[in-house]
Amino acid sequence: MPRRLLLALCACFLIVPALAACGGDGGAAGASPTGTSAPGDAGPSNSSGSSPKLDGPASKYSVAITDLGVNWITDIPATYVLNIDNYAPTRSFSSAEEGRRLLTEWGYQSGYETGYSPEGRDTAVLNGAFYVRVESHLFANEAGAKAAMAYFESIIKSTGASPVSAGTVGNESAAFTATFGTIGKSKVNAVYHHVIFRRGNLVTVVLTKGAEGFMKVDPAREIALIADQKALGQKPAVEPTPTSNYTPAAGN
Amino acid sequence: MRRNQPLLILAAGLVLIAMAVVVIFLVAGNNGGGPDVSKTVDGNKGPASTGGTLGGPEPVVDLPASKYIPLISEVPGHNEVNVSDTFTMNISTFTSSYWFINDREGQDKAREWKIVDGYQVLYQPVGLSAQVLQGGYYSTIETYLFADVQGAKAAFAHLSDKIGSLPGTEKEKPRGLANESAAYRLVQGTVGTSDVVAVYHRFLFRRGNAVVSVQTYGGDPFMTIDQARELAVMIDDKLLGQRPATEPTPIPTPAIIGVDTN
Repeated sequence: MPRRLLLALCACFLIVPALAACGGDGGAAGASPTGTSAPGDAGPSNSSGSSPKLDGPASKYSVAITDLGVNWITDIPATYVLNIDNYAPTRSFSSAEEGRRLLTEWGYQSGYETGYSPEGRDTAVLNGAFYVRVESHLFANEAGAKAAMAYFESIIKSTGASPVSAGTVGNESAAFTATFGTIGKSKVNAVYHHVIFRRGNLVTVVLTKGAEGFMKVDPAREIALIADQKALGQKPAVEPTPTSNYTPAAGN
Repeated sequence: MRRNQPLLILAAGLVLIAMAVVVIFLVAGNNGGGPDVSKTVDGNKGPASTGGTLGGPEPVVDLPASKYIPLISEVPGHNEVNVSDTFTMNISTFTSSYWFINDREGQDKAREWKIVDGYQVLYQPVGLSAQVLQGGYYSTIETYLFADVQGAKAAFAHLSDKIGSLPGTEKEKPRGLANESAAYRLVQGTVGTSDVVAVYHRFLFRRGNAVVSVQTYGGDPFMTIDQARELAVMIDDKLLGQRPATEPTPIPTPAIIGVDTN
């Protein structure tokens, strides 16, 4: 009887390591503390070895309102072209001097930020819609983009956001989530998802804000995939019509 | 027996493997590790509704129908009034309602049953569908008054047949209420863009010359007929005079041009 039991248990332990090896394919937080997903994650991916040197302006690799479909409104005050002068003084950096030093060190070329609100805004969000912010940053070379991506990831993590598993986008990517505040006058928590990725010398950050219960990382990742398709030339990269001359330093 | 020993060992091994697979999947969850869903719907159905008066008097209650509706402060949860779906009924809104296949039938029945007043209110969670995913629910409450008990009886029979024959509708069997009652459940779609199954529950009852419908809409993991029945008990207590029946402030409040209340 003990021999039979031993044989049965052996069969059991043989399969456990095999399943454990497969089980991590989602990029578990414990296995990937930075939130960077391992290649081979579930879901479609644009991930490839292609690391192009993209030319400016960065805005043409952003996501256009037409890429999102219908029922979206451009957040005009949150739409602006970035350069070292107006990006360095923002809250992304501890000081304007530090911002200028890092951006120069990374070979910052140009940037673009825009946002989209769902028609119906908070009411729509409480029924499953979400807000979007997209940042695109272009650097002189891949090394600068890599350094910037590492810095941006550290900034996101410093806000208390937690790594979340998501399929890889671009050459490297990471995803995070955070719960903060509520939606409108309701008591429903607001949930944020960040997907940050690098493709060659381009770093893109996608942020979504939606209602707890509805939101997953998937919408942010799908929007990031659109931006990556533009970087890869798989989708027309069209420079958007300027919509604002807003200076971020004034509001940030 | 000894000849079968290897087979028995293999079978035991396979059973243990199957058990290990189940345990691993339960422990590993969605194999992503990270929280890709912002909050898990765990489901938390409340206690069964067993209160209220079964049988009892058959009063001919006073107008208006609106005063028997629960006030927003009496409805559980963090709710608001859906203004566009809250109104006093007139003959036109009644005859063209979901009760009838067409306006002609509505007119005939309204005359036959001698309807005298009606009121509908829709209470919705302030957090809308997102709150529904956390256990909140929508409540549509309708109260109809008829000139006599006979008309209300005929109207109740018509409405319960109508609701009970809707495709996909299942009959529920909670404790009865008032002079007669019926309860139904309809599972339909999901809550918003989520994967959570949505469910309607409807509790109908008649007390004297009043016919009442209470319908709730919520997430299946949270909802039973009991939420609707609890609201129905509240209304029945008002009809019986066991609970204050207060006419609600008209919504929307009429604005008189040229009159400044300040």
